[in-house]
Amino acid sequence: MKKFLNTVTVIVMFASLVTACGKPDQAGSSSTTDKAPSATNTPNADKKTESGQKVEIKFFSNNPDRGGGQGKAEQLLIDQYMKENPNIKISVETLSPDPQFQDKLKIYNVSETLPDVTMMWGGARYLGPLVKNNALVSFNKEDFAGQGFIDAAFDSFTLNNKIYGIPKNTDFLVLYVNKKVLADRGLEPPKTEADLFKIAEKLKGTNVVPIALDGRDSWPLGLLFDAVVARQSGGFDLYHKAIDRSGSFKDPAVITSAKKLQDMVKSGVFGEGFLNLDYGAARNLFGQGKAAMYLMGQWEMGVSTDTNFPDDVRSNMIAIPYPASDDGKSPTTDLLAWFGGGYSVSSKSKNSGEAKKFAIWMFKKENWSKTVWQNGITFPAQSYDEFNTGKETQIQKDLTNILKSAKVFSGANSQDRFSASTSKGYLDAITELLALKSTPEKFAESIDVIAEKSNKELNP
Amino acid sequence: MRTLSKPYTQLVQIIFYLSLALVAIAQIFPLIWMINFSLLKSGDFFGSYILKWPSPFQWKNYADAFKLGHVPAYLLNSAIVAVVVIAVTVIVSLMLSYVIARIDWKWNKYLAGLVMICMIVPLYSTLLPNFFIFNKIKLIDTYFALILPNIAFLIPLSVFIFIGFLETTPRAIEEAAVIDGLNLLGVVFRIIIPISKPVISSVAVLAFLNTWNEFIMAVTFIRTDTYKTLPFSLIQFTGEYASNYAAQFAVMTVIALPSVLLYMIFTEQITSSLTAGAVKG
Repeated sequence: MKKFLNTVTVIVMFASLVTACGKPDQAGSSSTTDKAPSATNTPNADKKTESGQKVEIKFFSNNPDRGGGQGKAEQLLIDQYMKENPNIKISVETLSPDPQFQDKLKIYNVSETLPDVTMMWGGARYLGPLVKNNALVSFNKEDFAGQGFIDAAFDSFTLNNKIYGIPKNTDFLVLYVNKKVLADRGLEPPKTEADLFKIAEKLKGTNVVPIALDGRDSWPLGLLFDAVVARQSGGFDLYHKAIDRSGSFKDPAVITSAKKLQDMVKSGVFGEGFLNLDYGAARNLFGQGKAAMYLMGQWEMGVSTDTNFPDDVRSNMIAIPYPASDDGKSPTTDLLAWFGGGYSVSSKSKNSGEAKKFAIWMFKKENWSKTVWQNGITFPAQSYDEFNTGKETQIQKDLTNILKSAKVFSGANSQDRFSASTSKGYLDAITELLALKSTPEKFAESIDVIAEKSNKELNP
Repeated sequence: MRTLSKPYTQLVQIIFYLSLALVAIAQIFPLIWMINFSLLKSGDFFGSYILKWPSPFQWKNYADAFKLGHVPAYLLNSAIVAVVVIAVTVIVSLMLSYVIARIDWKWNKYLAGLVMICMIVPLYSTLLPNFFIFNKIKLIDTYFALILPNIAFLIPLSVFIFIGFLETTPRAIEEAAVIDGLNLLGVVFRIIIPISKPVISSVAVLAFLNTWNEFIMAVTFIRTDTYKTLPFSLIQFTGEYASNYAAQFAVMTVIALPSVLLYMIFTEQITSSLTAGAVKG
């Protein structure tokens, strides 16, 4: 009996230890109610600023490198804003790679401690949980009037007809080409998908890979799938409709696309073992002149100025759109282009009014648009013509032409349209297809099931 | 017969040493590979060669690591956290182990059980609750946010090792000390600590390696540069899409060196103390 009592006591002790961990949870939610009034008091906070009170804005970014790339653009603007507004201090927190950034965002969201301004991705998958928690302030299109935003840019940041984020880049998929590698073998940059197979045939047996592709991260494969589906079906409607369930992935065009992708793999378009190449490996393969082409987004435009690579490779780089379909149904002017990244403002912090002001200031075209274009960092989601300096690289010029001549824009790519919990399964299915471990028919069926599940989760 | 067997044993010895050398090379190769990559250009990676002679040596990677990767500041933070964690872990777990191993008390078994149960708590399940607690008591972004959970996770394992050791040491020394007039604390600090030196050093090394390489708690509980630890230097060179691999390898070399040195110095103590409990008798 005594032994039994002792055991019970230990269990009770242990249980109380465990529940002690649970208690702060309640404390956390009660602190929300404490905070709620202060959030509605933002006009009050504004008054304080006018009287010169110090205000701290927390800025959360996924670019730890503040000396280059988009981290540099962010930091330049933050420094400028602090100089113009001496009462405002912007403290930057950075975290990368992206899965870690997203994990921390989740922790901030559930603990109601979201930083004032945070880097954000468009699409229900990322925005949904935050919007559901009323964690973000909404913007009006008028807030950005006259800043040259492309109209569709706000689409992926719009949920329930409200804008919850400011898009920063125009992202689009292209092929970077090493002209010399092709010309040395009597080849030209591909114009149609059939040309890809010809190039692969010619390069077979040499140590040059036709297209360097980052296969280990599944998202580039998702982009490739979108591009191929667009070419087989004559546009981007197919996957849009399949995901919102007004259509289906069981469409014959999906099966022919899947077959085409497997044919590409079998004919060696991406070389041997491309599923083991990560981002840096694929990029270096192209940069070292060991690949004729490189499939990636416009954000890699810096590859031609990267001094880590030999001169004769860099000086022979051009960018071309993803090749047209063989039957002419989908020309190269159908562009897989989306507005992936941007910034959101927390609605629950006490400085959210000041933070919103800063975010809107940041996206005046003479700030973000000019900074990223003139520093050769990325394509803004705003017009940038007026900021041309004449010193643009060949790749920058090629990319501008691709974007300018595009007639059909895809909008959000397929993987960003899936719900948070289903997107991984979708990308896994594509990886499996490219690893030749499933048949086109089975693949179409399985992603259709995933799309159905995703739709139910997004529209409960 | 003797003259025949001598070359034979020599041959066996040569084969034995050769195979040991092969194992050693396999073990050391990743380190060489890391140092080699830390001296190359980022663009040289993933080529057709496993190792490549750096021409010229890219010492700039180390300069980048120190300047852009904030290595000195983060190194200091790592050192502060590690020193406190090691000191507290060793003292607390040694005292706790002594109570469990030596003092006859009716709750003893359960106390030991409770400490051991803590060993199976996965780190990830504590992140969110700890974030809530630390946020509430304003510990987010302080040294304590790293020190406290690190100690908590190290205590069970350290107690396990200490108990194993204490059970092999004879009680007679302590009994003699008590007869000579030492009280309980006196016994622990003047008798037990000196005789447990090898175990203390191995627990200390374990605590050091754990704290030095710890990243997931640091990512969760630390916001600003002021308190970031060394592993953050690594991600300082990863952008949304691109990475400066060369500088990352330079940082990795800097991070790995103290661990390698410590291991080389204490390797004997670690192996002897880990097996101390096992060969009881």
